Amino acid sequence: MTDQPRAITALEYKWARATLGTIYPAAPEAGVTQGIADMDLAGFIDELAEALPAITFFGIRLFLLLVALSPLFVIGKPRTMAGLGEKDREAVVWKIGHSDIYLVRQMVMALKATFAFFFGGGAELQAICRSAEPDRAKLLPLGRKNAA
Amino acid sequence: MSIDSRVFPDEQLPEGSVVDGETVTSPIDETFDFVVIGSGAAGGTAAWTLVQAGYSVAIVEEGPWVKTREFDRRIFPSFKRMFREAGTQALMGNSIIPLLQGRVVGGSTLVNSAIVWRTPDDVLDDWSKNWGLGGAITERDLDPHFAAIEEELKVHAVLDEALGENNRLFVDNSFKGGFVGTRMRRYENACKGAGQCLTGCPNAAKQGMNVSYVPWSLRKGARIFTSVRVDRVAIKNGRAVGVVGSTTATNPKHAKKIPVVVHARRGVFLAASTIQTPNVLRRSGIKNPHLGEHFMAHPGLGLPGIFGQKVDMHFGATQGAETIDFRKSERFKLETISMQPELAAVRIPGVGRELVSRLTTLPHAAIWVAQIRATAQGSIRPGFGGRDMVRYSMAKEDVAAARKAAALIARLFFESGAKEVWPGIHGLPEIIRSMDEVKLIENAPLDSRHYSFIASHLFGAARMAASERDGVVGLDFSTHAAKGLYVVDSSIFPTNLGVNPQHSIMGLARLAATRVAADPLAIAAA
Ligand SMILES: Cc1cc2nc3c(=O)[nH]c(=O)nc-3n(C[C@H](O)[C@H](O)[C@H](O)COP(=O)(O)OP(=O)(O)OC[C@H]3O[C@@H](n4cnc5c(N)ncnc54)[C@H](O)[C@@H]3O)c2cc1C
Ligand code: SF4
Repeated sequence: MTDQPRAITALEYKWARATLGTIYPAAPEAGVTQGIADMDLAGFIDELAEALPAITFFGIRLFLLLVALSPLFVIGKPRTMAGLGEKDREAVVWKIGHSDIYLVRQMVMALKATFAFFFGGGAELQAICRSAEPDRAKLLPLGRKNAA
Repeated sequence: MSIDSRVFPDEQLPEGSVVDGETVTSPIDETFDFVVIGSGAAGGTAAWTLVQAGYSVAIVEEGPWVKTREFDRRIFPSFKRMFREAGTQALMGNSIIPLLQGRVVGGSTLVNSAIVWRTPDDVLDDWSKNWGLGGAITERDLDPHFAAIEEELKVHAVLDEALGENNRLFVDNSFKGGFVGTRMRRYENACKGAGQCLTGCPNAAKQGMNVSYVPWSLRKGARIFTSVRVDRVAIKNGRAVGVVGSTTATNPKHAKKIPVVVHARRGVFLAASTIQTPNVLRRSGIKNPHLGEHFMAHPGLGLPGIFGQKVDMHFGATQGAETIDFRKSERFKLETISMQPELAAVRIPGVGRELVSRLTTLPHAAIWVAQIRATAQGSIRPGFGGRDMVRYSMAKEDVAAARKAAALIARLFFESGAKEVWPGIHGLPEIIRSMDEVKLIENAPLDSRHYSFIASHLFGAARMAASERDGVVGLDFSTHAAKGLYVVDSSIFPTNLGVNPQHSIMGLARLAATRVAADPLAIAAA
């Protein structure tokens, strides 16, 4: 686990954890006990910085910053994402993600897509989604004329 | 730990046949009969055809060679090694459309689903009659090439044992949607339905260029320069005489770019793909008003349907069922696809715990996709730092076709017993639960910004035409501006196809290379 990514500042990382932890939190009721903020998020951010073209990484960084500073404009609270409670944070992300302004909602879409690369690969989710191979016998034979 | 004792086709290659740009320390300067730029569908096929005709061939590939044994089913580690810009490229226009391309030995064939379609007759007729190709590329010309490729790359319909529930549901229920769904024909040999085509087939079952034509060419004497990016084609007295580039090492120990020059005695085959080829031509000094213009695509739109029973998409051919019944009438093709949670998450409604809980229902999801034969045209220009900039906006009629396809998929899901469909269309409910609600999709706005498209089928931007006034590349596959510079990827296609492009690309590349190999002028130039 890396404590602090090299690619962004400590303050940005604090905000990133708040925003991304709101998009991908733990959901113990569904068997996912680790949210993205409990995983090696710092390590992944460094990996992104290395793998993406500078301009793309800059875009991600900018989106994280804009979302972090948006609560005043979105829910009228003069705080950063890191200073809000869970419900408010979720309201901010939900509202931005459903904005009628395309480029605004794309910010959340871009964050959701980029960090799904990491969160979706988490051990618990992988175990849930790649449960045992289904019983092949149950899948056969084909019901209709389309057998190969 | 078990050790896999299989020997894969990308192993035990002849000594010296692979020159890895990541490890070279001094400049390269070598000479071959032909140089092929790119090792994907077009480049791999051209190289194999030329090698079989007895020529010495160098393949120059920008990406690394990621071997079967190294494949990793985790998405990001794979994407960053195998996809251009780690899979984060996009077409920029009214809306932002993610663009996927392989950048690795095998090109996009290493990461694709291996679906096979011969070029439809109506497309060839259109090219012949309306785009001035006359009798240059006919069904009769192409058929023997398609047949040869199909035999070599073991094309057949998905077998029962690799079908999986996602594909089976589509095939079995298609009649309820009023069409015939069939199993796909694919380039594969003993597919085990591992559902990992996107991160490289761990069984070397999928016959991508990385495990077929490229290693076969090397075994017959060709050489490949990997992690070497061609900057430009060298042109002397109006004729292509080689390529100039440099290594692209990602390893910091070898971060210094090392110059590479490969001379071509007889010609250069440019097969860098629709997106990269126009900019390679530009950097080589080729000028033509059509260069970089007329770019076309098949934007794809996927809908998840959630079933009461488990579907387990991860088991079964990544893509295994389809229909082309709507290709002509409605301009779309329907397909199935399986997605890992790392990719599916973006299509799952909501944020927070709601989103995460829904992610855990993925084992109950099937995903069906529409590939739109879009009419829109875009352009390709050089971008910042040697990147490629694609401008592309879908036309209203293209969005209308996508909307119709989305409604059809949703209807078919409910007919097949799905409990929920997640339309992913802005302004609509995130989840619809009944056939009645499909009306909402039918009436969704015709604005591409409301939908989530993705593009991987790419065409045009260096199109073929009899005269230089109408296109960049002549009917002999050579650019009008420089002889011996043959362009053999889908950048030369005058239009898109409405079916998956790889087979058309390979068929045309094989036809081109066969003609060039037999061309006495190419021989005389030696
Ligand atoms: C995820 C995905 C799934 C797909 N599924 C299917 C399918 O099932 N069936 C189908 O028919 N089609 C499919 N396609 C599309 C198909 O793979 C492509 O149309 C086809 O591979 C294009 O062939 P190509 O040779 O033009 O380009 P590519 O196969 O992309 O190869 C081009 C190669 O050139 C290299 N290159 C580029 N520029 C340079 C340079 N300057 N110097 C050196 N090398 C360079 C690239 O790194 C790349 O390896 C899919 C595509 C993707 C991305
Ligand atoms: S589905 Fe799996 S076994 Fe079949 S070709 Fe794709 S990766 Fe290989």
